[in-house]
Amino acid sequence: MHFNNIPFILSLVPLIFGAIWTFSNGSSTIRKSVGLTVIGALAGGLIYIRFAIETEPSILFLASAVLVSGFCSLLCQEDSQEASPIYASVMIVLGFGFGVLLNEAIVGRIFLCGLLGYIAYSLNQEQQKTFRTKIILLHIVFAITFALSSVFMGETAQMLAGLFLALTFLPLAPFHLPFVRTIKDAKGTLSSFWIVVWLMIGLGELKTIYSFLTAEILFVLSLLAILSAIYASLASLGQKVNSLFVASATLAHSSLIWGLLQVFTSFPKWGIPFGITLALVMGGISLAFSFVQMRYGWKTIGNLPGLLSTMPRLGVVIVLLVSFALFLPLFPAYSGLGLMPTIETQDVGVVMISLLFSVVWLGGGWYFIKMLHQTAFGEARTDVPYFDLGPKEVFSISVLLLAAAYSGIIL
Amino acid sequence: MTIPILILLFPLLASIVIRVFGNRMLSHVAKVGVIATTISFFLAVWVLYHVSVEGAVHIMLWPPNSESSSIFKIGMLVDRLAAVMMVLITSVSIVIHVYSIRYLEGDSGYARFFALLSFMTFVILSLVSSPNLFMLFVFWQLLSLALYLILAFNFPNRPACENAFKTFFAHRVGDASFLCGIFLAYKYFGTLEFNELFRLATEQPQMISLFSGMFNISAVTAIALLVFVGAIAKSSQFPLHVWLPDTMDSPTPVSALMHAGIVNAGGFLLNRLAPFYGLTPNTLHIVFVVGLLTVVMGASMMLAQNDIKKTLGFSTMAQMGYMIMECGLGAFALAIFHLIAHGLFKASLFLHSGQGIHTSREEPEFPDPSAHEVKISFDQLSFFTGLIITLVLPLIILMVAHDMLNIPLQNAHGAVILLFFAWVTTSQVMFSLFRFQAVASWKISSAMIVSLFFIGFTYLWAAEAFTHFLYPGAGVADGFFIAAALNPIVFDLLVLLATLLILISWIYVYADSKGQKIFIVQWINSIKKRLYMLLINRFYIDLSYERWSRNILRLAQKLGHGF
Repeated sequence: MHFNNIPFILSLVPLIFGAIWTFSNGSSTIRKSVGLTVIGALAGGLIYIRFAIETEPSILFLASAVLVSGFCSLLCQEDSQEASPIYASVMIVLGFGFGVLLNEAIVGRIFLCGLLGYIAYSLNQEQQKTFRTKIILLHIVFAITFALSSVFMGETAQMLAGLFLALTFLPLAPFHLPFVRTIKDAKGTLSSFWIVVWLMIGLGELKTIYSFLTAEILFVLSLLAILSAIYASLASLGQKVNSLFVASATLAHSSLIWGLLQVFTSFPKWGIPFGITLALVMGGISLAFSFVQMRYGWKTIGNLPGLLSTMPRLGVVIVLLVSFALFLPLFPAYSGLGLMPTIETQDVGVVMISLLFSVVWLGGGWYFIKMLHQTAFGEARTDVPYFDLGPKEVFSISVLLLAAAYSGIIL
Repeated sequence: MTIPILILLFPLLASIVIRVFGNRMLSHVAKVGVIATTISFFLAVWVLYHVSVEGAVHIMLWPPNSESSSIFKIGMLVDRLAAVMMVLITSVSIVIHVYSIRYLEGDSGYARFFALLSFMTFVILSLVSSPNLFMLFVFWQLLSLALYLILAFNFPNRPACENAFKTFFAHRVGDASFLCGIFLAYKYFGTLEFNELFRLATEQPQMISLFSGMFNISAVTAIALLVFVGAIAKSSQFPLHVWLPDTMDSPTPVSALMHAGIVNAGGFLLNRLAPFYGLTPNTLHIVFVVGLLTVVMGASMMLAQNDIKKTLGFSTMAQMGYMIMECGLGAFALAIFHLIAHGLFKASLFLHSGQGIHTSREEPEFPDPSAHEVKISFDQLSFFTGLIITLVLPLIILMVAHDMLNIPLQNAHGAVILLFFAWVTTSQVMFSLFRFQAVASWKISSAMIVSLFFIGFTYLWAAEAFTHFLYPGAGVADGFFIAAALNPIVFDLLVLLATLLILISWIYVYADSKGQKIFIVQWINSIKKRLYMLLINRFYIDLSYERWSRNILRLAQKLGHGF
């Protein structure tokens, strides 16, 4: 077997399992066990690639984040009637995600088109398509077209196509609609996994094109990043639906990456570790929300306050996640400042990132604490039976938090 | 020299042990916290002695290679300033730990409270011993978070949580500005290590030019101003003062810790960056104005309060304004002197406030119907002693300021400033003493004269010696005073204005004691009523902030709906 086929095979394995599970019936418990075993095998495959094939470490980190998130999502998903399609979806998304990240050129693009097609297929199931759905479908069609045609086009067109894809997957308003819809429609623990996969693909795309971005493009991107951060922060502040809250908070923080491109050089050194941290923390928050949703079916933040006294483990988990999230803007500052060229940087650039930091910083301080007050703090309801987190759920969140800390601080 | 590390480690370990095993060893939770903090206190005393004799200790923990370009270097810089602060923090923390043992007995969050208390002690100790701006900022952040969590200690209590959020957000505003200051500092000087930063800022001044040269500002001034906003937030200065008086729903030991320790962070920050601020006189003038405004607002709002803890809260705000004002006049060490005195005093007041509230809630006793109201007589001797003393001092200040009188201090330029603060303090004491009119007049007059000498001694000798202790370098402290020097005419006007205010106060006291109404009674009464409304509504600043936040939330809900 040729070494270069390994990434392709690693991507196909979960995809095949996912496809089979979609079209067949079976015990969800067995599927969970098989899924976890496949993830274990993929982890082994990644280690093999690390030593056997010359692959960029940053790509392996992105793939590892996808794997960790997939593992946590599978592990935490409650075994129920709804679980089987969720397991199938996790495997399909995992396969496509791996395919996009680990394979280059046309193969990678085909996997990307597959993923976009899968999203479009899910959207197309809706009986009555709203205007918003049509816009999102159109966006996906564009993304597929750009993804395929970029392989055959010149450098500039390739860069522009890559930029469109990066803006879609590492979302920045107004390119955020497919991301938001995907997170909103995801069931069970899948939304947490989607956040990570989506952002990892975006980071991978941005890594490919960032060195081609001109000063003018970077300036426009930083302007867009400020507007996007303001919009997403406000949207998050006024949000009551938990999945949309996480999506808007993610959008606000990913704006930071786009804005900082203008002043911090060497994107892979600061942007990828920060992006992974961001994705895992937001994935963790989404996972915590899904625990409530799986128990009570509520999607609204604030239906279950006072968790610290009634479900202390979940309460502590939320406090920890929010505490971590509040510090998120410090991570790119920590790793990026050292790479910033001193004096030569345009002064206006520093003004803009100061503004961007302030928006994300203040916005995060407001909406995360507001969410904390609506969930962990406050007076508990007496009309609800409480079931605190089990060891698997605590373990999953702990893994995500530790991985996020590792990525943000050590990488 | 690894002992300074142990000062931090003991509270940290206590915090972890209490958090992990707290519920299983509930009866030992307090002991762990008290023992750890006490050990840290003794170590801090030893370190203070060591750095006083041997000089500052610089420890680099990470990265192992000291030449590394990483901006986040973990280490410790223990100089005299840090060592003094460590002794203060650990001593206050011990008292609060001990006080909390009985105060929180039986509370379901007993272990959590002690874990947080030890953690906060660790964070504040780490903050004061940070060797660079980035590490200081990280602990500055952790302090905001830890404070938020301890203020929301009683988390089912909605007002407590809302006020905790208010505190957190006000700090967050300051922190955003602080972070921007760090960005600029790194961009223009390429380092965040204190000593290196001070050296480069002195040797290679930079200019920031914006909008094609339409707006130019010195990099040092911009950085100092941005960092100062961080200090404004933490030390409850105008316009970010709104959080401090509203944090009284938290347990009393937390209030004591906050008023004796956390609000001092702003004063510490300015002291840590004193050499940097010394390079930018304009910033020091702004610092002075902000401090002055806060003093006036805090003291006046305090007069309208009818709740003992809120009164203490506004008093702290005014005292912090006083401390910031001292920094703005270049008396950085005096601010630390003030900070220590105020910290110890305010902690004891807060810890006593519970007893005061308890006593006032007891069944009221009817007054003895046979007793007659004691008529307070006006005493000429104490009145004139007070009047002369409060008016003699400004004369001396003006004479020193205009080189007509020489006071032989080590930092010659500080004499005027130290005298200025001595005068303000003396005036307050004189008015307070005058109220004890039931006592024989000669005793009051003697007390006034003794107070004058005591305050004069405190400021001109003790504070001056402390200044020299904290900034031992030749001419360093003097340099701060020179940098902060106000325009002579402005300074004279300030002294004359304060003299006029004191004179009016004495006239009012005289007229009041004689039972006479002073001129334009109606006008003054109407002003008093309006002023009361203004003060009880806190100058409507809180209300306007609330209105803005409601508008933002309304907009957010609209955007959130369509997201």
